[in-house]
Amino acid sequence: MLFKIKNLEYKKSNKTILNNLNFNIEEGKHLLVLGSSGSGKTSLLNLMSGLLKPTNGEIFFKDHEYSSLLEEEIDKIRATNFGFIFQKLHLIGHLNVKQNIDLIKNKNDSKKVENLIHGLGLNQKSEQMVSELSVGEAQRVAIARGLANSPCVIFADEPTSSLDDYNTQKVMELILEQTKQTKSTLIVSTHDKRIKKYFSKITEMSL
Amino acid sequence: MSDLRFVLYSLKYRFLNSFLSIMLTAFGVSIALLISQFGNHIQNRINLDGQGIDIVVGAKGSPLQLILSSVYHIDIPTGNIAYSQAKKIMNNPQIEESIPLALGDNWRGFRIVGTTTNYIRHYDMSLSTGRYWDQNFEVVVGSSVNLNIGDEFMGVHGLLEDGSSHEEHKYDVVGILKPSGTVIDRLILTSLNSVLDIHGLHKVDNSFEKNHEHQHDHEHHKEEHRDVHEHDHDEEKHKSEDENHHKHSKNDKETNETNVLGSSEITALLIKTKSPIENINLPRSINRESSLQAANPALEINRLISLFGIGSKSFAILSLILILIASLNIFSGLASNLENRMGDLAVLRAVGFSKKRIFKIIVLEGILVVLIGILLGILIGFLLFSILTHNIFTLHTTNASLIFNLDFILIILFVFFAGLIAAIFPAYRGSKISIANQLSRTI
Ligand SMILES: Nc1ncnc2c1ncn2[C@@H]1O[C@H](COP(=O)(O)OP(=O)(O)OP(=O)(O)O)[C@@H](O)[C@H]1O
Ligand SMILES: [Mg+2]
Repeated sequence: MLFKIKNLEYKKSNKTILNNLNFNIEEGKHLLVLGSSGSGKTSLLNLMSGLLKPTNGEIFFKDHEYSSLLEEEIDKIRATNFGFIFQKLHLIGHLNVKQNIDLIKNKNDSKKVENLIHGLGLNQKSEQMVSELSVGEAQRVAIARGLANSPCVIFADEPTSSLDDYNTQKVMELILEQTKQTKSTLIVSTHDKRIKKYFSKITEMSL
Repeated sequence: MSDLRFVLYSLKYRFLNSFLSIMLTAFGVSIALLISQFGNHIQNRINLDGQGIDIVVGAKGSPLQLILSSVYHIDIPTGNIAYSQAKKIMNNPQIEESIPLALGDNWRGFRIVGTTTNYIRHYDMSLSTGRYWDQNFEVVVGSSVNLNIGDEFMGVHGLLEDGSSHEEHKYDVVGILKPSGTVIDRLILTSLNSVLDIHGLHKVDNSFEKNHEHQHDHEHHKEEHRDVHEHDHDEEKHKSEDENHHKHSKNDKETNETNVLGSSEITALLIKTKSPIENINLPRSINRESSLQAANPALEINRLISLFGIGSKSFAILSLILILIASLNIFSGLASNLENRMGDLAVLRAVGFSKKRIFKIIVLEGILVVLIGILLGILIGFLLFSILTHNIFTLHTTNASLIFNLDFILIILFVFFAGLIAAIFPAYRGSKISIANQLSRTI
């Protein structure tokens, strides 16, 4: 079992955001988290990736319960197992495309930056500063960065919310293609029902 | 990407700020280095050149000028004194050693000093090649004087390079001294009589040079007097009393001791006393009872340092302020930059950078600025030092050179730690950011 979530509860300033969540994710399965804006999707992803601590309940990743781990051990899990495609992209503005991807490479089996850039059609942009990219281009860089370490879990927070139908399709195909190649688990949060059709084996949950 | 590369990109991104921090650090370091190096140089020269000289006797005038001219050879003498009077002082039983000096000429800026070999012995120096003088106009040169054995040269009148030359007499180089790091290295030494002769003064009996104890037995003034040259002796500074001596000396040619001594002049007498009390008593009695002046080098130099000290202290404070400003600039650069890059740091934390690594990255950024600043500061320090030593005569002639001493290391350590401390607080704050909050920040 990749993830095991037991009685998960998350409160922020006395407001209950997540309450009594229980679910498992098997290896090779994907998770689609559906929910309207403000329903707690980002919070859930942050809890699952160890960026937030739950108010109650347990989160197991590969049988390690987060609260039993040291902070540095959780950092290590993120560095070696997780890839992130953030809702707000969060590229580093003073670095160029190549450097943004290169920055987080930390494993021997990390993908070659050139291959990623090529695969995402960013050939011509590799030396360009990310602050000068279009939104769509920036999103592709963010995806490339999320995949650079060949992670076994990819967290994608609303990867398509700002995209039109055409680009939504392109991005989703791209991400799913990558997960197929590396046999990794994709955890996507969205309020965008269009995405549903791209998944065949999904655990779906509504918040 | 290595952390160092990341830091370099970040410094490049805020180039103006990094540059300012680096320059401030560099100026602080270079000024602090210059002050300590020059202070150290001066102190060394004072100690080395003044070793074992308790009293200096010379013509009346500024005591400091007397010390500087006869001990350190960096000023012009206060005038000449009659050898007969000097002789009386030399016979004082409280004196352990006395060395007469006759100044007046130079060769390419190197002073020609008429003295006895006691002068060389006083500084524990020995020949590297050749021999000591035994004829008039034979010279032994210090290691910094670019003359070789067998060279002949003519002295130039005065103590500065551009004077009229004494074309009648040529000096022969017969010996070269080993380098000692003292003032002797840049002097041309010869017998007292060579200098007196060239200035048309009566020679002195130099038997005391051979045996100090029997100096009263001399009546032999064998050497024939050369023709007296009619020329304006001495620098502008010389007083009319000196000129009287000169005129007087031209007239008599007797070998009678009193006459000879009465007409002979030397510039100064370096004295080592037998007890420290005499360092105070002897000058007092000389100053009171004779037309000579006696000065205590230690006293005068202390006076000079205390005057000079005010200047060097304010420079030291200036360099301290510069270093503090540089550190504050490093701090403010990192701290204000931190606000802009919280998001970036949160991303790094999210993708697995540990708190320690974030801390390290920010500290590294501060250290890099301070290290580049220190290197640049040392470079600027070296450059200014060599420019100053080439252009300031006294530094040039005293062989000022940059040395790696304890002060050097302390200055660099101080600047380094000031920069490090300035980086630690922003680094600590940067490592403690809340990842999720930073990532969800919309505005
Ligand atoms: N730091 C915080 N302090 C207080 N409340 C917060 C904080 N972060 C999130 N919340 C609240 O928690 C709730 C869930 O936020 P979250 O970002 O998880 O929602 P979401 O489902 O991702 O929304 P969206 O689709 O707009 O991204 C929101 O109501 C939000 O106001
Ligand atoms: Mg969200």
